[in-house]
Amino acid sequence: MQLPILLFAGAKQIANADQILIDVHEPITAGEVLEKIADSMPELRGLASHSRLAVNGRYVTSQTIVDGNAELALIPPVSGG
Amino acid sequence: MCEIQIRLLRDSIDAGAVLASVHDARCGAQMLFLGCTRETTGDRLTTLLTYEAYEAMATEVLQEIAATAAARWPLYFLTVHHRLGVVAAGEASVAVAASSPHRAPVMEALPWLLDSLKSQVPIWKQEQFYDGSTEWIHQ
Repeated sequence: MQLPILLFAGAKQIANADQILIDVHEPITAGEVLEKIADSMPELRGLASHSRLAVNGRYVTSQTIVDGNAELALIPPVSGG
Repeated sequence: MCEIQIRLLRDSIDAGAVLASVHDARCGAQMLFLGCTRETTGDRLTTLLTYEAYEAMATEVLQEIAATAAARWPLYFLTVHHRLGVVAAGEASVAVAASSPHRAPVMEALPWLLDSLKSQVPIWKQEQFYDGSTEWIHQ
């Protein structure tokens, strides 16, 4: 199945899009989703390796099984304040 | 019970209003912190910054951080305002205020809250330098 991943800031700039679609087979963990993002767009690999995945607006650990119907977002290192 | 106010704003931060939002006659300590955009990063001159957020998550994470602070310290009011969009160098990009009957809780809570904001909340800044180049900050 295809999962849409929301992109922000530098990731959005690199992809030139505010979301990308990745092809996955469920079940899949958050860590595997991050790896798939890097595979689908190698330019994102450097930033993705330092990013977290958010599922429905919450950070998850890399071992968390991802619900394919949830809203997924790639969260690069944050710089607010 | 602490009253928490969280806002993501596209216009200027009203520091007076932020401080007024934590005013309470029971609170002998009322503290405001303003984070302002710096004009220099190393030896480079910044003209403006652009802030972007994953807004729904940013609001939720800020609420959680504020609730954690309110559980840890006896705060009566806690307000966080963060700018989004374009912010000129020298302007406030974040304002945090808290009040409590005594000073120690607010003086401990505000630095903790700012550290948590800077490490957890999905907000990013892009610096635009004098030569027109831009850079998203991811560190």
